[in-house]
Amino acid sequence: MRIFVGILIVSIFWFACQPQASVGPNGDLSAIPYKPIPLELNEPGRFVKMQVFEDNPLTEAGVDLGRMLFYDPILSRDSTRSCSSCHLQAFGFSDTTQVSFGIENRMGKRNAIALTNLGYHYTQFFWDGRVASLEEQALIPVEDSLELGTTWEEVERKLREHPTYPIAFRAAFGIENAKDIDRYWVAKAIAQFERTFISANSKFDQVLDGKATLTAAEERGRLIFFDESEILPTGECAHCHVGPLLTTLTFFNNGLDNTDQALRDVGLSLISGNEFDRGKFKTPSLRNIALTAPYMHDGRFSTLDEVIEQYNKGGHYSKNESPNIRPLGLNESDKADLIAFLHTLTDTSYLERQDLSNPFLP
Amino acid sequence: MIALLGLSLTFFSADCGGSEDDLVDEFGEVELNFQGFFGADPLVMLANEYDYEAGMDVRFQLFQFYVSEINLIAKSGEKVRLGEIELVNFENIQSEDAASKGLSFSYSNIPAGEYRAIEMGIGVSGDLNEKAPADYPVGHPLAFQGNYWSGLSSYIFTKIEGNADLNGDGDFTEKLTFHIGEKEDVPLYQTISLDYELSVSKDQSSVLPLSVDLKQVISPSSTNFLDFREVSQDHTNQASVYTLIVDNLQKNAIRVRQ
Ligand code: HEC
Ligand code: HEC
Repeated sequence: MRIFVGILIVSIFWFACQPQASVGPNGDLSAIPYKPIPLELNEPGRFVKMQVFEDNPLTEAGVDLGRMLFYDPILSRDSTRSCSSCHLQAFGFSDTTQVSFGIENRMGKRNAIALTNLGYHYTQFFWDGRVASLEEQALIPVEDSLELGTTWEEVERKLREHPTYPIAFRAAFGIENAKDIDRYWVAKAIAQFERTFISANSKFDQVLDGKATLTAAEERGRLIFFDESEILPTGECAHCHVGPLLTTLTFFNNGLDNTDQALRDVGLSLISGNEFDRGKFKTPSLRNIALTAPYMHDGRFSTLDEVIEQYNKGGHYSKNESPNIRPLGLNESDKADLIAFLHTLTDTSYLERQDLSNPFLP
Repeated sequence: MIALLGLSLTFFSADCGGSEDDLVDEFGEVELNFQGFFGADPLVMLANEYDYEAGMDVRFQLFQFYVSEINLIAKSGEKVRLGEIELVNFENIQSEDAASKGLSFSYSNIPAGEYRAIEMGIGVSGDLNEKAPADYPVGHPLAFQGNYWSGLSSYIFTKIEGNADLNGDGDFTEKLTFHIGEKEDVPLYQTISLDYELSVSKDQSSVLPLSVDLKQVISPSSTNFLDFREVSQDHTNQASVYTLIVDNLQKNAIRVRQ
């Protein structure tokens, strides 16, 4: 409760610094001017251009609102957890625990996925691909009993009765009355904010732009990663972790388990109903990978050394294991070089970006 | 440019009482349909296993290739562009039912008239291979990062992935990955032409049925095949491997379906 009051006070302060506006009688907002300002993203040239989302164009007020909602525990039952509790900016918007914990420290089932370049994910979201858009995704954690553990009716009520959120929804979406606030506007605002999560300033990017050079070890690691040397062993990584996002965004069985046997988590096949999708998971981006431990959908590995060791062995055979997972024959120095390369994927500017940080902190 | 002008001239002349073979100013739809086979059997990923040469068996997870600059050739000789590029990808053909439906690509606004052949480039044409995924919007066949080698500035024209049972004991533990893309001085693109009489009529859809036989690609004969005991992987670095695949895909594997 005390935390809730704290956040309330902070958010009131935050709104106090915004241009003066107030909610009219019976939640009427129509007197407040609605002048959306389109937000132009600074898209990296190497990326396949972001899709245009016609039913949810980015605006300054929309992104600002999404940022508040992402960080505000008002979305949880007991006002203790927010999206940002499991997606921490300092760790590339991932969590530091093997699986994430929701309200009342309820233990989740999977490792939180690091959120980067989400606007470019044109395939499904979640490890098992169960939703198709960021708007759909943002509806899920609120009612997940192991995450924010509340109901949308309750969140909608709190937002409608809030002293300042109705004004922010008016600014973002032009709603006429506080009672028009609903889950879909919340999801749209969060999705807008998430589309600004662009990370393209790692050392690796700077090298591609000719602004930095890799050390000898990093360069050897790069050659191994991309199979570009005739002398060094091939790491086969870039079959799946490729392009500027360092992922194909598609689903693979990367050999963690024998998926022909019983599995704790069947991944994509739970959603697709296809037995050939057993144990397939969304290929994660490797951006900021040095910061997003633990690794894999169940957080089974706590270090990159363990990850590389696993790949080096060539995985566990099963029918649908990707044939690109094969014993690699990396020696100790190859492994160290590969890890050195993975460290060049860290984009510290992303971790420090003010516009992505908690707006309720001074 | 002159060719283009010529093309539009023949096109216009259709209205002025040309021969029967000329295209007319009416439009229909053409559906290009590819069915995959392994020899006489339908090509089904993962679910089916196939006898292979020298006592081996094989199972596939992926077979895909690009086709570029797809044109219909009219009886008058005129060429009509169907599509610039497509990815023919059998990855999701995982049942005989799906195999019998095949993979279809539809093109609308095709001038009505009589056609005699289809031509297409197997691979990614030189012009298109100068580009990279970032040049295309999401969903375009050339936007998929997994089919691009940035180090070589080339698309991967063809991928074959699967598993082999080397000794007939039922364990398909040998992993197979063959990825073919263009490298300097290794020209791998070729245009093929297949005869087929196709009429396109106003507001109607006509199907052009093709078959692709993966057996022809990797084991055209009992003396000429990829021996998985010797080689199970290629990234276009072993000439004997990639030329076998490329030559056979271009010359022997794609046919008009009877
Ligand atoms: C209790 C911890 C927790 C909270 C709270 C939480 N998440 Fe997550 N998030 C996760 C976990 C765990 C996953 C992976 C779950 C899965 O795939 O099944 C995930 C996955 C995601 C993904 C998918 C990313 C991808 O690449 O597919 C997005 C987007 C996301 N979360 C955004 C949010 C937003 C927005 C909120 C707030 C509305 C939120 N999360 C709240 C733990 C959390
Ligand atoms: C066949 C595709 C494929 C290949 C090849 C591959 N990966 Fe992965 N990688 C995946 C998938 C899929 C996952 C997620 C698996 C899961 O969680 O069950 C993953 C997960 C990871 C993770 C954990 C990411 C996270 O956020 O938890 C790291 C690190 C990683 N891979 C690095 C590599 C490296 C380095 C190589 C080369 C040595 C490599 N991968 C090769 C598909 C692949």
